[in-house]
Amino acid sequence: MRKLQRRDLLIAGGALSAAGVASWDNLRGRMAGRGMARSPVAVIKAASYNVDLVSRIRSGVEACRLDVRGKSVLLKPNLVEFDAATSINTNVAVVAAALEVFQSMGAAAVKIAEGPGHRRDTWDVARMAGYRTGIEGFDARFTDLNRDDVSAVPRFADEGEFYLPNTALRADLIVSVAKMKTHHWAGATLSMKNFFGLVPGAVYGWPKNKLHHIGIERSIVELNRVFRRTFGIVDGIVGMEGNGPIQGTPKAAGVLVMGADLVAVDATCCRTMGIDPEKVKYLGLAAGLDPRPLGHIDAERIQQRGERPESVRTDFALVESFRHLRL
Amino acid sequence: MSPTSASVRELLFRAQNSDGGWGYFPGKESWLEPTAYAWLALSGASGSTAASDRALTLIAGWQRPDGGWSPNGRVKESTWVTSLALIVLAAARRTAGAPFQRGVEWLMGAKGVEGSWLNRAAARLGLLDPGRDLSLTGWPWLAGTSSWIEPTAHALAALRKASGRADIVARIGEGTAQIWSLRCVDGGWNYGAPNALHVNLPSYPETTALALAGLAGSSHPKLADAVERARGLAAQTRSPMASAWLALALRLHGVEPPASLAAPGEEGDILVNALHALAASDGNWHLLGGSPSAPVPVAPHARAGGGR
Repeated sequence: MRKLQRRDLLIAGGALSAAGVASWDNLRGRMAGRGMARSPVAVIKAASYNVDLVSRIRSGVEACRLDVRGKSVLLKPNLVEFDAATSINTNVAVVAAALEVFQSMGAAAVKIAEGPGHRRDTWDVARMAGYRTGIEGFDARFTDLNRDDVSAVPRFADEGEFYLPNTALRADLIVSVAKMKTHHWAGATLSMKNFFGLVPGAVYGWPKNKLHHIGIERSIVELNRVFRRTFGIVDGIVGMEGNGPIQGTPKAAGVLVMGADLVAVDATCCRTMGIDPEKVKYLGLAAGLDPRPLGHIDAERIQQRGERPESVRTDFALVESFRHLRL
Repeated sequence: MSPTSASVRELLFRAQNSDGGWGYFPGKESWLEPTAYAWLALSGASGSTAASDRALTLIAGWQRPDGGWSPNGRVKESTWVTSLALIVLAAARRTAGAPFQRGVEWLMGAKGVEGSWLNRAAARLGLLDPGRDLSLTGWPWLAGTSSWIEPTAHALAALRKASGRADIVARIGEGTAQIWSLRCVDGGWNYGAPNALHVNLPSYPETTALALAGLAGSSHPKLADAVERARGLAAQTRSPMASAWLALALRLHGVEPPASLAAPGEEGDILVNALHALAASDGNWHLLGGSPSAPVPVAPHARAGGGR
């Protein structure tokens, strides 16, 4: 039996069992056979950050038939922390290219926002990650979601009210510009888990420990239930394997994965990482959400555009507690 | 008053909202954290009486029936900002009033849930590797969650403003011990996890500063070493927020911050500007301190005025 770690302690508080995931198997069973249209997901090769990322992201967005004309678009990168020795953050080149693509496709406004989970000075994390010099007009476009004004959202998990930042609540489209990483508590962190950065630290703290107590998997699903007008762009050009999302090792996968169905995007990312998406609990919860599932895991319900996941598969190393996820 | 402090204070006067509070950024809704730090920064400044009174009225209005404070006018829950409200009330010499006393009781009742009897029992039976000393409990960001460095540090600073009641002294001692127990191997502090999956994690400049601010007035054999670590971080960081907190913490420990500290920046960040004004040599940084105590012993070259 695996010995419980500090994470179990910090999320469980008075109860040792991982609450909130017990019904996952039931939900997984219920999701089978749901009659939803197939979700397009584009897998685009990109060997490095020096290639033409604008044309690659544009081709992926167009392949997924996304129309952003007249919409206010919010780019939500992954800036959880910074360490020059590894690859924690969405690379600045991917965010800059996404900005250019959405502007050129007729978005009314394109903003960037993030609320790091550990660091208080969001602007300094952005500076260290190269955003403030590498993205045109970054300072004028950026909102620190940890210190944004908030509004109450009803019925979030078992909470009466949950507070979320107005910048995110008022966007027409949130683009999760995420990083392809393994995660030592969730298995993988991709476009859906990236929404933890939408939760305001000024209310919930640094770290946003409330989400751990609600349950990581359940919190991921709840945030994606609240924010449904979304698109995902996952930076897997160089991802992170092993003890992610912060202490892992850079892993070159050479792909960008895109789509409007974030469950399908993350399931496709998992397949390229050598992870069985059916075994990732939050994906099962999301696909089985009743009455409105958040998206598809099943490969037959995903319309792959660009590369096939198996053709670009690069197995990401998994920590011991998640080795059972291997595809 | 230094020209920088004067201009920052002028900015704060201009940015005060009509409800008496300050937002994190100009034109945004009032929050307790920037309001508390702006109030502390402006306290005693020429012409600040009216602004201070309006801010105090707003802060008083945000106290909840349970005695704690909510982080702004929208959030219906008492949180970590209760400590900041108590520090402001203490600086305003309102410790004898019922709002302060009720706030202290709320703070005394707030504790991280990681130290529950079930977790302690599981750890004792070897079923749980807590990575923490479960006999020590600090303060959480909000009820029902675990304790972390920053809310614990704020709570210690606030409770040092309260009476010397035995249970308060005991709780201060426990929180202080928890901060020391969560110190990173590099000598500073991060949010409260010195390691993850047996990998040592680095400290951050801002949380190292906050931990030291919470430890102000206490004594510990390794305090001088921690202050020296903070001084090193202050010389390295380019974060205006971390710089301000480090300057404030170093001053609370009787140490002059390095001259090369990052400036407040131009983002119109109210919190950062308030912290810089508060941490200036002529600022009100002492309002964050505990009861007066002798400065801790530090390396000779790190003493005030002895910077490189």
